[in-house]
Formats: sequence, structure tokens, C-alpha cells
Amino acid sequence: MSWKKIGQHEFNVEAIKSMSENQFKKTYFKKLGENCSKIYFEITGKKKPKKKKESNK
Amino acid sequence: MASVCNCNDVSLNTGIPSCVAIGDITRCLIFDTELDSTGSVKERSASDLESWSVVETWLNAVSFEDRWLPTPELENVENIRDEAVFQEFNSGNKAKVRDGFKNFTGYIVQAPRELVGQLKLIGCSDFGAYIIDKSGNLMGYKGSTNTVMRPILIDKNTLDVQFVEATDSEVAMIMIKFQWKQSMLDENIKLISADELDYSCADLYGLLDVCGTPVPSSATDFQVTLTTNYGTNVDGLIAGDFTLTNLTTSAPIVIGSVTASGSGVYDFVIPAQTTGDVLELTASKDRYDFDCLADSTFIAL
Repeated sequence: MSWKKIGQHEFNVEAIKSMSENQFKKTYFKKLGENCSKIYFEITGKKKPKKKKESNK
Repeated sequence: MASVCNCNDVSLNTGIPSCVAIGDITRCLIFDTELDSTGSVKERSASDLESWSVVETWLNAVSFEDRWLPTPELENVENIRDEAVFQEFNSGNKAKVRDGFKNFTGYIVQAPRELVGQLKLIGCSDFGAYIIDKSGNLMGYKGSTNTVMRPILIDKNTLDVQFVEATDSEVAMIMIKFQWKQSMLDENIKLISADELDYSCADLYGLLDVCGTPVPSSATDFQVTLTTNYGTNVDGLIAGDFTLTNLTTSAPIVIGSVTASGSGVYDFVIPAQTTGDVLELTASKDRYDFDCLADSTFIAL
């Protein structure tokens, strides 16, 4: 089991990896606030999906 | 002296080596139960007794029966054998009936009252003690072979521990007083020289009991405040020190995160459990005993 420390929080990396970004935000938004998404991707090492550019017709 | 005489063994010599350590005044005691957690007579090898890396595992042993229980350094130690008991006849001749009992008294300076209760509990088991003296030598009792030692056994009924209040001229102290078992003969006390040990009284430590009651605030969150039996907060624990178990299903629970949110305060996020399941939080870290924490089970919301 590996843990990642961010501030005073220690996250179980495997447990967080098994969560979706939305699940993570739902669980941790109260503790982490606006940084929630950033921390999720920092822990999991996943890449944040880029927003699709609107195509010019 | 009939008790020491063996009519079949007349071998007797009185030579002593030119340089032999005989021990000094006691600096600290290390209490040790007579039997280990399996019920076997406890003997510790001399090579283990010399090694701090082994000794530290004894200080942190999970079972009380396997644990070494050192005292802080002692002052005003007296370890004196009473006078032998003689029968005196009408003629004026005397015959020795038995050796006197050996009594130990020592004081722990400015120790908290709570330690009195802990030390009294030692007397609930058959137990003894190793001695580390002022020069750093370790003394124990002869074991079944020359390479092992046992604690010097204490008559548990004689253990007396008292808190001595401070006065205008004296600081507060804890007095420890007991009698060694009569079967413990001075000639069988063995010594390991300080030169052979890689630790001293100052390195030894007793464990602190840690208590806390986890309080759930939602299905996935709970908080616990950890304090020692002396009322101090327990800081510095990390997530990997904790273990959470669902006692209802006997399944371990994967902790999602742990946050040190204040002095001694830890916030946990866990996967939701079935409402009403009984959960047990425990931890493991050198210098602490978390049995009290594990006793405080809590109910999943």
C-alpha cells in the first residue's frame, strides 16, 4: 500500500486510483475545496482530459 | 548450612580471577514476566541481551508477557539482604536456620502518579527483573545453560509502589519496594559487562498506552483524538500506522486517506460500510501500545 502526502493529508494511492475524478470530488471537496481536481490528478498520475475545441464551421 | 551441603560432592575451591566485574549500585530495573506468552519459562540468550536491535523488539513486543518493562532511572537504591535467622540453644550455641530475605527499595524522581498504577499491575503476574547498574553492567539470573539468563525473580506479594508527595525540602517521587524470591541465590546472579552492551538505561523506554474513540460524521468519514494515559496528545502518526477492520464481516477496510487535522486529531475517509456494522481502528508504532484504542469499536453510519 503506497501513500502520498499532500499538506496534512495522506492519500492511499491505490484507493484513489480506483475512484473517478467525480467520485473523488464528491468525497473530498469539503476537505480540499477548489484544488480537488488538481490533487486527484497529482495522486493518480492520470492526465486531465483536454476540453474539446469547438470546431469552426 | 545444611541447605547448601551436598554429601556426594566434596569439590571446593576459593580462587577468584584477578579482574572480575561484580556489579555496582542499581541504576534501572527491567521487569520481565517469568513465563512468555506461550507459557514457557522465559530465558533470553546472552547475545540477544547484548544487542539493542533485539532489545528494542522486546520493548515493543505485542504481548505483555513477551515485553520488557524498564523503569526510569532510580535514586536512593537499597538492595540489602536481611540478617540470617539463627536458632539459639540453651547452651549458647547457635545453628543457622535460613538466609535473610533480600529487599529492594528505589525511587523514581518526579514521575507522574499514573505510573504508580502501571507498576502495581506488574505484580499481577509472576515476574522478576534484570538490573542495569551505575556502571552499565546488566545482571540477571543463571539460566538452564551458560549462554542464557532469566530475570531475577521477585515475590509478587511483596511489591509495594507508592507515590511520595513533594515537600518543602523534597521533590515528588515514586517508591518501588519488593523482596526478591528466597530461591534467588546471590551466587547465581550473572553479569554481562557494560563493554558487551550497545545500550544503557537511558536508551530503554516503556510503552505509552494510547486511547481514543472514533466518532463517525458520515458513512465515509470519522475522526479520532488520540491521547496517552497521561493525557498528552499523540502526534506524528502516519497513515501506514493505522489498520481498520469491519468486525461484523471480519474484513479489512482500505483506508482512503488520513488527515492530521490537529494535535492528536486524525480524520479518516473510508469506503461506506453497511450501516450498523462494528468497526475497529487500531495502529502500530514503536513506543506506543494501541490496545485501548482497539477496544473502542464504533458503529458505521
